[in-house]
Amino acid sequence: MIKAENLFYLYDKNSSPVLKDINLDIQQGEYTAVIGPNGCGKSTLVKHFNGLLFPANGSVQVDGINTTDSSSIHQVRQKVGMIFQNPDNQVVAMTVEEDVAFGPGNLKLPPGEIQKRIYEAMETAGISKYAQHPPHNLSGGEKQLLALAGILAMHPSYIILDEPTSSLAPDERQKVARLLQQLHKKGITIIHITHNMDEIVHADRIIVMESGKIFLEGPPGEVFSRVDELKKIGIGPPKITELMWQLKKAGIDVSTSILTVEDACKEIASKVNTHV
Amino acid sequence: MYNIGQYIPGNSPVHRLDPRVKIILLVILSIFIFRADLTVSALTTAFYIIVIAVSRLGFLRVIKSLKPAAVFFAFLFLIHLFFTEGTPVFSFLPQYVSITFEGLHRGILYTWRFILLVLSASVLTMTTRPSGLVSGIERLLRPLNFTGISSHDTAMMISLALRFVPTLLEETQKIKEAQAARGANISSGSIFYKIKSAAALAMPLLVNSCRRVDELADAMEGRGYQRGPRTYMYELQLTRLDYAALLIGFILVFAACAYKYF
Repeated sequence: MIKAENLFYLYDKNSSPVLKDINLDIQQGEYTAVIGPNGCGKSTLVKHFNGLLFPANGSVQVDGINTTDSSSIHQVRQKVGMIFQNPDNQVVAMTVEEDVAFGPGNLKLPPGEIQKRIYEAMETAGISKYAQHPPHNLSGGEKQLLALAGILAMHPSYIILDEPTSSLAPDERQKVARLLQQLHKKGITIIHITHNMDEIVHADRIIVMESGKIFLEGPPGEVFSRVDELKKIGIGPPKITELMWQLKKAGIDVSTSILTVEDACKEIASKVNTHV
Repeated sequence: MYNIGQYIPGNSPVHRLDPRVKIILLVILSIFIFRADLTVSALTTAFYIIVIAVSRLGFLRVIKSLKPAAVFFAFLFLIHLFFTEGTPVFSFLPQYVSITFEGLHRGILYTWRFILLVLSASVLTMTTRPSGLVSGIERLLRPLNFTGISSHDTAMMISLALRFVPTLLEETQKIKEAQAARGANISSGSIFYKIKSAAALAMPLLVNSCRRVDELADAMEGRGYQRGPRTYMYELQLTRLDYAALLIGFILVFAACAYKYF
């Protein structure tokens, strides 16, 4: 479990805090999405979860380990993997396989174990065929899969993704999104920051942040149905949820916590049938 | 552009030699080349012809890899040709410019040595995986760890520098295109204009690189990177082939010492 208690953070002493009194529990196995307008502090928040940033006040614990405990920081970073937005700036090696081997090498695993793990990880990410290739020849999506493989080889319990798909082509977005769901099914906790609402309709929980605070929190159906509040802070819910919300406003009594086209069809059909 | 001495995958004995052995042999050969006369240069050339044939690099490709240095070769040759005193062979503007026999000899010898040095480096990088080179350097530097120079950190720095060469070239291209799209004319104009536009290119590149460094540092730390020892997926191991190559190298050195070559 990742636990944040009374978490405050400021970039320097005189500035106003970027995070203000955040209290949050993320359970093992959960798929949590974090959304919010630019500059709301979502990246700053997740950087606390693997010890890239440390609280100015309050605390962050990963499986009971306080991230400020410098003797255990290695453990925290093994448990919590992090993927960033720009795939190019995460690649450290000159071949795909060696890049995947970077994390396990940092964990000082023996060469045999490293090789076993990286082949598993590349297989899961679907990039085995590029093992010997130089990473700069890969597409953006493949580079992101490479970054994921690099984290998977460290056998993490939590994977944090900070807008992993924002620079990718639509088909590549889907590939990454599918892999995330697959990993989630295997029991890995996913913490996913995104601006693309359609990617996270299947999440267990959505956390909406605004000005360094948690603005809304709950399952997707519940959060997205509060269209008014979301629009106030500049977030558009999934189009289909907004459609249902508009229908309701227009006087048709439909549920507004609908996230997929199929469910929307069923819901509308059932109303139409009762009217006829 | 950046395929100057770029690694060509292969499975020849030259490819399979341990990078450490190749680096040591390169150093030995370079010392020989620095002191070479025409005979030794010819012998070294013959040696490289064999090496290139065995490693199946293709002569054309190797010669092409020397092309970027061609201007320097020509410069070196001409300098020696015209500025060495001795018996004139040919002169125009008598008293001022003349080609001497000594100049010709020196020009050929020095240029040949220089070509051989570049060729040595080129053959090394063309037959050795960059990561192999890096781990070779790391292992060879390990004895220096007690001086405070960390072999692991040095290896990491070299490897990151090499890794970002293609990325930065790509970015340079993008910036050039972005500037061209806004009417900048980079490919023509006077030399001063070109220098000026290079500065306009360097600034955004530098700024972007600084941003990259921040993100890269986060990504590396996030993956558990710490200064100091780490493990690698391949451990270097000397084989019989390596010992044989080393033995031949050392025999050469001893022979040279015995004949007072040095």
